[in-house]
Order: sequence, then structure tokens, then C-alpha cells
Amino acid sequence: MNYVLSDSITQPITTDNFLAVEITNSKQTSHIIKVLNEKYPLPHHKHLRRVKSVLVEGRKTLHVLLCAVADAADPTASCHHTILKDTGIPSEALAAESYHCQAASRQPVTRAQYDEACKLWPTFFHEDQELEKKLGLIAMSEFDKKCMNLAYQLSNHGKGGFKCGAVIADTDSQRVMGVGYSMSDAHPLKHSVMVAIDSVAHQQGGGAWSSTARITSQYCSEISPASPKAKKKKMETGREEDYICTGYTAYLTHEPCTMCAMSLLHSRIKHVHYEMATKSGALGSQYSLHYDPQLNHNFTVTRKQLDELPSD
Amino acid sequence: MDLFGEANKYWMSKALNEAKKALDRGEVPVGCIFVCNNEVLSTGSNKVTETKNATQHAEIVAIDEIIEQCISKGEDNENLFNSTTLYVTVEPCIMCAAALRLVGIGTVVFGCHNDRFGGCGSVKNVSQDDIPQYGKPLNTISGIYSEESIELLKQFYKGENPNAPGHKKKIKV
Ligand SMILES: [Zn+2]
Ligand SMILES: [Zn+2]
Repeated sequence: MNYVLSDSITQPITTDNFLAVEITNSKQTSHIIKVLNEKYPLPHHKHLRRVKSVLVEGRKTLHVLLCAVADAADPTASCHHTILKDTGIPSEALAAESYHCQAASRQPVTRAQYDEACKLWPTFFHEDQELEKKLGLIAMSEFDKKCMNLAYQLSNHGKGGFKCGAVIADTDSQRVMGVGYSMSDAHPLKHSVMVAIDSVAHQQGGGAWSSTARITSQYCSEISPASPKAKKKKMETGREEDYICTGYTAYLTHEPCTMCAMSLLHSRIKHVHYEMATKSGALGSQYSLHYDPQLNHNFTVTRKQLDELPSD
Repeated sequence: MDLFGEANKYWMSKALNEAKKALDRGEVPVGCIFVCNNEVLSTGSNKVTETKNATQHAEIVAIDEIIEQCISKGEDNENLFNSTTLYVTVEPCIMCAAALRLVGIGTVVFGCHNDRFGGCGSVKNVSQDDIPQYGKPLNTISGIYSEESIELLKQFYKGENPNAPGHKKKIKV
């Protein structure tokens, strides 16, 4: 399975155009950087290193960024001379001809983006180890597989348009906390996820739908006998205890629709795994509610990759 | 259409009454009423605490009641929802806006906007976006008794957490 991440993480870097020049007197390098940073800062490109070194026939040469072409008053080579005049850098410290080059327009967030960016021009980068772990193919645990199998088993009972199955579980205590399958034949809102959330509520002494109570007792006890302990879970700080799915993982046969994805968000789900993407899905397809910066709760999402699906 | 006409104001005042009931029960004060041909189909208010189910917003509670009625009468709910208007004190959230499209509601009239979760333009435009399997977009009318709707929410959050430093008066539904 793979994490469903935002484009800023998974997409290749974008680039901007710059004016650069070779430093011919390397002893002047630190002075050149200092005056350029003062008079010609790069306010939109703070992630770029000002100087890069390039090996030319075994000889190290240094190159400096003069300005971003978009920021330059006169984006032609004559700009080079204007900059010399403005900064007082002696003309013999730099090559006579400046040149245009490309560099990353944003700070890279992954090592892959960083490597790509540095081929153009070196940048600053802070590796996020947790993020790096989410980039490749991720293996499912035995408990994940067990929950996913139960979700498929449940989906067979589905009635209505989509035959979906949903399992909500606490991976820490390895307990199934709620189950659901599509009942949208009789009730247009009884999607498997809505049913599963109500099932969790039933397990905890609440619940809105009587049909959910039945399947909850049927399936949740099967894998994990409901005990008073099951109702207690590790609480995080703050007011999260008000929400029934805090810390839980949802296992879904299909990518949830907008209603279902938002209901998982309202319930403060920690992680969602789904197998089949759907056109109207809201965790990567139609919308990506799980990493929307405007929403007050974010969660992680994984999905099965196409090449993992059995071919029939 | 007389947007702020007497009929709309009348029904919205009924929705406000529902919201007040939720406040009295310690729930987030959002109330709604579903009206078809000048007849009340159902009323609803937030029941998240009571049911321990975070999806039990006023709209979901009231839709549920209508569907139950249809099932017991053996009637089809699709045509009914089509000619029904929902009056709700706060802009439906992303989940509820989606639910309203799934049942095929005719028109939605709401009071104040919902900056945190609004699904009719504030955060996402679920009401208007082209979404497969979600039927036609929703007709929406906003701003009727919006001050009164916000006031109820303020009362709720004031009562709950009066000392929260720099607590923004944002709406949580
Ligand atoms: Zn759904
Ligand atoms: Zn809602």
C-alpha cells in the first residue's frame, strides 16, 4: 500500500529562472555573498544556496546567483553590470559573461526532490524521517490484513449501489471497534462508513441506528470480545476525548465519498486505509479532505496500489 | 423568489427554536426543519453528545426521521426530498452538504456561514461542485437570521470555555 500524499510532496520540483555568473577570484567569494545578500537578496528563494561549485575538467569552479530573472529590473546580461555597479564588487572578481540557469522554486520536502533540485542548483533541506518512511511501498501488518479481510467479508452483505465494507479498529489494542456495510437500498445515507461509525458509537453505549446495533453485536464480538476495557482508550491531550474514533484506524474496501470522509474527520479518525479508489472519493480523488489545511483535523491515508490488486 | 420573505423568516424562526432546544440539552445549537408544500416533514437538532456519534448533526437527524416515515408508509423518499426545502440555522458542513445532495433535496436556506466546516462555499463547495453519483447541485439561500444563529453558538462556546485565551469565535458544528 502507499500513502495518499499531497502534490507538493509527490510531484517533481518546479523551477524558476536565474541570472548567475562564475566567480573568477575565489578569495572574494565570502565578500561577494555578503554584498549580494545585502543589495540583491532572494526573498522568494531563501531555500537556495547563493554559491555552487562545479567541477570543470577536474578543477573546482564557483558560481554565484546574481538575481531571479522575474525579480530583475532588466533581465538581460546588462543586469550583471548594474549589479556590479550597485554592489561595488570589482569586475575582475567575476567572469565577464553572466548566464541564465534554473533552480528549484520551492524548498524540497523529500530527499528525492532535494536530489533533483541539487542537479540544478544546491538548496537547503531538512529531511523529515517520518515523511520519508511514507514515500515507498508500505507493508500491511497481520492485524491490518485481518481487518481488511473482515471488511471484504462485510461488503458481501452490502445492499444498494456500491457494495462496500468498513471496519474501524484500535490498532494499539488490536480490537475491532465498529463494522459496517452498505445499506443504501433502504436509506440513502447508510453507506458502510456511516454505519461503521454508528457501530463504534453503539459499542460505547450510544448509537443512532438500530440496524447498526445488530451487526455490531454480530461482528465486533467475533474478533474481539467487547469488554469494558475496549471502551477505554488512550486519550490524547485536549478535548479529543469527546470524539469516538480518536486514535482509531478505518479499513475500507472503497475510497469513501465526501459525506463518509467528512464523517471520519468529524470522528477524529487517525488513519484510513482503502483498497479501491472511486471517482467521487474524497481522500485523494474528488477531494483530499485528509490533508486540507483549512480543516481542523488531518489524518493519514493509505491505499492499495493498482499493481497490488489481483489480476483476473 | 422573495428571499427574505415572510415564509422563509417564519420557517427559519422555527429552525432557531430547534437550535435553542439543542443548547438546552448541552449540544451544539444548530437546528433545522424540512418543509414540503408548507407542511413540516421533520425537525432536527444536533445530537452528537447524546448518540456519541459525531455524524448526528441536525440535518442528518431530521433526514433520518423523514426516511423512517417513508419506510413505515411504504413511500418513495426521492420525489419527496426533491420538492422539499431545508431551513437550517448554520451553513451545512461538508458531510451534511454531501448528504443533502445524496437524498436530492430541493432547496437549502441557511442562517450564518460555517468557517470551519462549511460545505456550501465556506471551506468546500460540495453544494455546487460536479461530483459523480451526487446528483444535481443544491439551490442555496443564506443570511436569514444569521445574527441570531451566531448568537446561539456564541452562548454555547461561552458557557463551555469562557476563559480560553484568544479563543476565536469560530463555528464548530
Ligand atoms: Zn459514502
Ligand atoms: Zn453537518
